[in-house]
Amino acid sequence: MAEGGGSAAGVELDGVSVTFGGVTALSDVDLSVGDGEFFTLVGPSGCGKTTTLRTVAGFETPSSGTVRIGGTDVTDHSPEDRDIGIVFQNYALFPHMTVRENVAYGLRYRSPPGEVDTAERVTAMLELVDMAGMGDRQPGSLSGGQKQRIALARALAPGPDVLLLDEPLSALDARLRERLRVSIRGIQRELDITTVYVTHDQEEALAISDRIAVVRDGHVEQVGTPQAVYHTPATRFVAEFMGENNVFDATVASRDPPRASLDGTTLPVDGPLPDRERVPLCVRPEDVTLGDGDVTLPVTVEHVEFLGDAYRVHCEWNGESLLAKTRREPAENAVSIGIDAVDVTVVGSQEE
Amino acid sequence: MQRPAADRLALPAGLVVTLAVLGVVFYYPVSRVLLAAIDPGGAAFAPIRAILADPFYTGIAHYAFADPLGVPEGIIAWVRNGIPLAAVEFGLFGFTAYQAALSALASVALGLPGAYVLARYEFPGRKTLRSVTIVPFVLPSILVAVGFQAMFGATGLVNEFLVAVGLGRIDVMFTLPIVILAHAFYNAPLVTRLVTAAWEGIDAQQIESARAMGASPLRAFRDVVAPQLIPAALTAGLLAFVFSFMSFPIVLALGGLELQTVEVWLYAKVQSLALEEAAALAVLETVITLGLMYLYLRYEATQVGIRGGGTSQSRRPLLAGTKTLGDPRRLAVFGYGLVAAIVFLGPVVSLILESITGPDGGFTLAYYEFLLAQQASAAVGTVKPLPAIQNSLLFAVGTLLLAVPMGVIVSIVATRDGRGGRLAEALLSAPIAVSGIVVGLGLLQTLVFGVDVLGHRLTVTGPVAVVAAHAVAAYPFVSRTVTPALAGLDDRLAEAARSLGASRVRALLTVTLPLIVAPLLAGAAFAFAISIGEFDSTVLLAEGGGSYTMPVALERYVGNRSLGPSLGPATAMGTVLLTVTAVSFVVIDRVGGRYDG
Repeated sequence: MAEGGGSAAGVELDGVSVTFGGVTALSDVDLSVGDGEFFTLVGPSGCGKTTTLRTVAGFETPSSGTVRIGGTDVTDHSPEDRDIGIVFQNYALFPHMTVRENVAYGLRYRSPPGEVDTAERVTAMLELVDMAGMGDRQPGSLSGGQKQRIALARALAPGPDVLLLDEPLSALDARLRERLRVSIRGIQRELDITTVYVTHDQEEALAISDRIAVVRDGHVEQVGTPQAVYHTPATRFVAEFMGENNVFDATVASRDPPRASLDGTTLPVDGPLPDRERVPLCVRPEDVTLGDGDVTLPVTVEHVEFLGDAYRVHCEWNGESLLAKTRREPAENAVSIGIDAVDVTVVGSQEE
Repeated sequence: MQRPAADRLALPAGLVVTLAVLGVVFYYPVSRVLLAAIDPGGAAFAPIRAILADPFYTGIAHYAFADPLGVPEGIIAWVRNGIPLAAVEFGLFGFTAYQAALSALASVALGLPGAYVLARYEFPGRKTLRSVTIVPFVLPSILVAVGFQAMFGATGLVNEFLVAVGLGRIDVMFTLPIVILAHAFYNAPLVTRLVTAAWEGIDAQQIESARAMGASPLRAFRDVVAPQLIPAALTAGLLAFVFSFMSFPIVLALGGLELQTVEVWLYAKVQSLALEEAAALAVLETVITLGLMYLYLRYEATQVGIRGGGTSQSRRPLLAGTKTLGDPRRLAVFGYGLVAAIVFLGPVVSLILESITGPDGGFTLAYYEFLLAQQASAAVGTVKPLPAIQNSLLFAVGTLLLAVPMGVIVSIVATRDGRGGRLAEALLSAPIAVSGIVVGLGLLQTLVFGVDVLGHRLTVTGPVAVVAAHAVAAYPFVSRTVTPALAGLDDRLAEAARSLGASRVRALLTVTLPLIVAPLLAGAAFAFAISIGEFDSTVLLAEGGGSYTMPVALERYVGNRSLGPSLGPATAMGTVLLTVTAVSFVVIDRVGGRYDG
């Protein structure tokens, strides 16, 4: 399909700051989203991810910095002049219009590339989101998931350069959320449209994105592929926010071979150590095994949760709490757990 | 590509136009009146000081202004005389406040049970009843006054009933109780509305939590419900006080010659061209009412954000089969319903009955024939019904066209974050707190008599001034119905429209406004009704000219005793006014209904 138009439509933020009545919501944010890329902003609530999206859309005006879409400086452009499509968490379907009228609304003001008939376009869009035949319904009569599909169709109908999604799945229940995120990703691939996605759900971010920016307190902590962000966190915050993690403050024991020291215990480490004395280390709970490993630690089991596919084991070792995710239930209270060198990641080893 | 400036500037431009209109037809004229008292050309504040030091106006307090240093001595002398409380005079201001306080008390007493019934009982027609509580408030006050005369007058319905059952006549006309009852007629529904809203806003889970922790139903009411109702009741009482303090036609028509309030005296002073004294009275009255309105708004501001969230208590059915008659609470509700029906329906029914009842008690159309005769009369100065109806409708449409856009623009400003809300608040409260007489006088002295603008003499005609005064009185009500709807609307809707390519103005026209059609029409109906019923400023601006309206005509018939001491022609004119008002409402409702679905 030819949707999305021919124009290369990356999004760039260059030193963007946004303040609300003296309070800084975003400070000096640089981001670059490639043409056709699915880019996700993830972070806790109030971190500035939605503000970033709204700045791209033109609903917030930066106090400094530049916003570019497709290479054009749009910092001073109104939202209606930016060729974007946006989907909000609460759908924001126009309640006084039918589904068809909602989807057709943007076509009053903008046309997708090429000669397109409005009625045909609306039908095609409804088919795209799997809602063919629902055109005459009132938005009020739809379920949450259906509303979100219509909101997506409406945003895509005028063939925008950039699609912006602001927590589109947060109001839906877990099952539906997983189904819809697969279809959103499918549609995005089909149209090859540059997409900026905002979510507070790190699992959703990992599952759906080409690249992720982890946002915290108005600045970007790390940008990278889901694998990079998950396996080589740049900061302690990223290590703890993206999935469950055990983070320890260790000191360098030796650099070759890389060894770190944690309360007198020496741990083998994956990869080179940075030029610092103190290094935060992280080990994912799923990498902790019951029994032996490169290093074996005697721990006390404090609490066990059964999750269905695994056990979540809360342990205590040397005064530190440690989380393990195991296939088997620990047999007793005092057990040994093993950690392999390859699973011990140095937080921030990629930086500095 | 940049959007044309026109779109960015549409809202600011609308606001500027609104402010300009308000400046020309409200702030400038009113400030001219008030300044005449503050800076009369001689000693500053002299007229105001003269009033404050006059025992006729301020009663015993005049000593404090006339001879402040002598106050301690005076108090000592007063105590030596054995504290003769009965001899203490409070003057015109004292009496005005006294009757307003009694009226506020009566309004709360009559309105609170109504709130209880509406908030706690379910019965057929509850929602309708809840919405018609607005009706007394928009009924023309002169009409209500005539209705009360028809009900309580010497040959009124009440006395005829008392005679028929063998009891003696009562004579309550031109007494304080009848004025207070008429004020309660106006303000009790206001109390009911505000308190019902507060009651429905209480989260049922709060009460359930209290009950779960061991509180009895009564204690839960005292500890959880009452603290949330009292502020609303006090606020409503405060509003009732302000409205009763400024009340004009009720006191004029029902107070007779004995009962005078500041507003009536102000009117008399204008009539006798004692304009400086009138201005001084206006300043003092405005200071008092604006101060009280400020208190009201302070409270209202604290209430925003408290509301919402949670579900309100479920209502008990009012009709519970055979249990109904044995339940003292339900019987009390029915008793209250009977009283309310008499107070609220009585005057209207009396008005209509009186208009078709002759002096002998039989059916007659003589009063309507009188109206027709007036219409046919060629005599100069005759008050004709038809022009009054035409003028009223014309002015009402004019008011609608001016007040609705003004109200909507102020609402948009009010729902913006930051300073917009405060500006709107100030804009909306001032017209309510300034009496119609003052606005009328101001318009008369400035625009109608003419103003020099850059060497050109600018004058407007009476009708234009009337519409302007009505619009000023009406637009706060438009805004007050539109603002909550606008505030409740999700900002994302307009943002979605703009992301799809609609400009600010287009988004407003295609998305925002269609979603608030119902409150918009309600606001329009309000503006219409207020214009139809407005008396205070109209009576001044229509003076001598041909631009009298139905309420003004009605007042002239009340004063016209050419048919003997009969209220007949006035009740006939009142019935016409009632009919026109009702029909207009139905029309607005029908036209509105089309967009509503």
